[in-house]
Amino acid sequence: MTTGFSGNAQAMSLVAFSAIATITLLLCVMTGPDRDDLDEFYTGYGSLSPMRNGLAIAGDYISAASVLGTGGVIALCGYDGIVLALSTALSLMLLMFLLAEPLRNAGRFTMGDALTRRMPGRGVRITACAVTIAALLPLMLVQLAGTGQLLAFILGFSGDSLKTGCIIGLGMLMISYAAIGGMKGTALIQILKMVMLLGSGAVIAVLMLRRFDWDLGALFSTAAAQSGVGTRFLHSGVEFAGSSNPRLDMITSQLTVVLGGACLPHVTMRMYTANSARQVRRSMSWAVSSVILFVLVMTVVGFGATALIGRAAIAQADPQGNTAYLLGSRAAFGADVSTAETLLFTTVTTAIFLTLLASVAGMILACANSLAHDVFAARVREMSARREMGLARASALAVGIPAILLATLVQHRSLQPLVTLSFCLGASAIAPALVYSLFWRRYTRTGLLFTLIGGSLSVLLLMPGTNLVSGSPISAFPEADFNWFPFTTTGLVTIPLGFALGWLGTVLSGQRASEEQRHQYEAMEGWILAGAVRRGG
Amino acid sequence: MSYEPPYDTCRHPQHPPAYDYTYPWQPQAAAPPPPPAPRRAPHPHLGHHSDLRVLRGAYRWQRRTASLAALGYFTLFLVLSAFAPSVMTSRVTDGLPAGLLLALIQIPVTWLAIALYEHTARRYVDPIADRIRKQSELDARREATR
Repeated sequence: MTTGFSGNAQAMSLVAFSAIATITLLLCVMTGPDRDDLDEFYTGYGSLSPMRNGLAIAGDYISAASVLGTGGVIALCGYDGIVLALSTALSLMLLMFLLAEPLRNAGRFTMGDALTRRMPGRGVRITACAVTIAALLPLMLVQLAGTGQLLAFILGFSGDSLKTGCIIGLGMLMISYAAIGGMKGTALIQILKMVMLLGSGAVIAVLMLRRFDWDLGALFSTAAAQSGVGTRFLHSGVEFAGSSNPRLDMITSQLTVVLGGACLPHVTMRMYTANSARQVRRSMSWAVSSVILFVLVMTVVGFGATALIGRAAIAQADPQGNTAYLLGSRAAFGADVSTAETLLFTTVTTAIFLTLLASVAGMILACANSLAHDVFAARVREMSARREMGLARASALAVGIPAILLATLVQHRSLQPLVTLSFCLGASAIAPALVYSLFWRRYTRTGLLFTLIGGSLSVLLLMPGTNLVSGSPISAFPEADFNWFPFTTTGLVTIPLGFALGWLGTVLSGQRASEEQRHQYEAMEGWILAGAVRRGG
Repeated sequence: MSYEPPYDTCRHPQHPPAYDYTYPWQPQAAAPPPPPAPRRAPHPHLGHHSDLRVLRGAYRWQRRTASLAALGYFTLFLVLSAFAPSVMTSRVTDGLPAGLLLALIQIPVTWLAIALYEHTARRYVDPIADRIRKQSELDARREATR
């Protein structure tokens, strides 16, 4: 794997990575919470302004998997990649419109808090925690395993043991961010990452457009000519061409991203950090705006990469196109590179490096919070804040270390199915549970458990049979073929199933139980809708 | 029930409310002594408050319209991409097919949608929510001093 990045750029990148790792760790230590202040650890006290909170939400939302993966799909599949990027943005917008404000009013620290607001009980909390971990672990594995490959690509080494070393070392760094910094520390890192990512990306996009004389049409037609598939590159259908039912597969895949993307717990946990519904709305406006801006940047850089270096070269560097964003940025400078341009390119690689660090830290934090708050702290009647915080920090370690070990095992497989798994779990289990429990008055505890457990199990059962797991050269197990569910995602079956199971569970628990639920919901409707009786008075 | 409501204990340590509005179904620890006959009827339950009904309506309208419009437009776009390729591949300007143009237009439309949502929320929903919040704070204070 030769990258063509000059030795100069590699040396600068290495220095920049070390510097950024040191600075961010220092930031975490400086802003970390006091020893016995749970609110500060879990929410940062709502001390961030809407703009900063919005950038932190966007930072948690745009993970390295989405930057590199979506950039790759845009460069390799053109139109389908743009639609995927738009789905990602729309997902966050739907979260803002539908769930953000009531979620903030109902929840306190974790998804378990939001769900048990109406239906107190340990079973619900433990299930919520299990679903949180099941949905985030695959995404963490992808980013951790990707860390080794990306660093190998940027810094130009190829030894497997060195890659494994990178995963372990950086994994420990990510755990320390989550354990030391809590919500506020990771928020700062997310803000720094978003500013770097958007800033460097915008400059690259402008440079790219300048190379095509500010003509978008020229950019698109050159990309189509260089793509090897001609004008089909600008139409729907390249990505799912190998599927047996390409149209339906395309629609369900995109809708799974729309429904599942923003419901994942590491994004929703940032809703609780705002200190009023209005703040959450302002924050989400900032978050959606920055995600949209980034979609624009990715579109230009992705198409530019194909136009300048060709689809074949991108697919050769990485069959999934994960390096397309970097290759495109590099190509935007042209043949001879000045020192200033090398510096700019270093900023891009550093932004990607920081994205990797920050997104895994955010996910570890979401899992650790849920484990400490929903499972351990809820078991003991009176747990001191100090002990709970110690538990949360230990949980970060307990979640992070198995994730690192698993990541070293899966690093040589195709990681795409794991990303899909996360989104499917978000769309089939978490989205129905949140929508029902915030808006359906008769929803009962049985219904909630049916949704969470049934939705997750159906995804886990169907997922091994899908297209990306086996049966094709780019799948995770190319040597085997147990592809019996001919779709890319499980969404076609599991999303309706998740909603239907919630309804079924509620109906089965009887008229009396759901009538009781209705009264309970009405008793706290003022709380959920208006944020009454909270922090006031 | 072993679950402890987190809020009232940690946020209002100095005014423990006599009656738990948040978890009214929980058994009360000790029956409060009958209050000296209040001069006016006790305040009606929050769930049947007419302001709350108005707020519920306003929120429901806003959420449904905004979410369904966003989701509906995108689904329509997906269905058109998949099943009406002739529409999406017709060229609008040189080099730019209609489908790609429709996709790119969604970017400014998203900004418009956010602005519109913020505007309607501030104009129609926030005032009602503020009123309910103030009312319930007053209630809580009155209950505490009774």
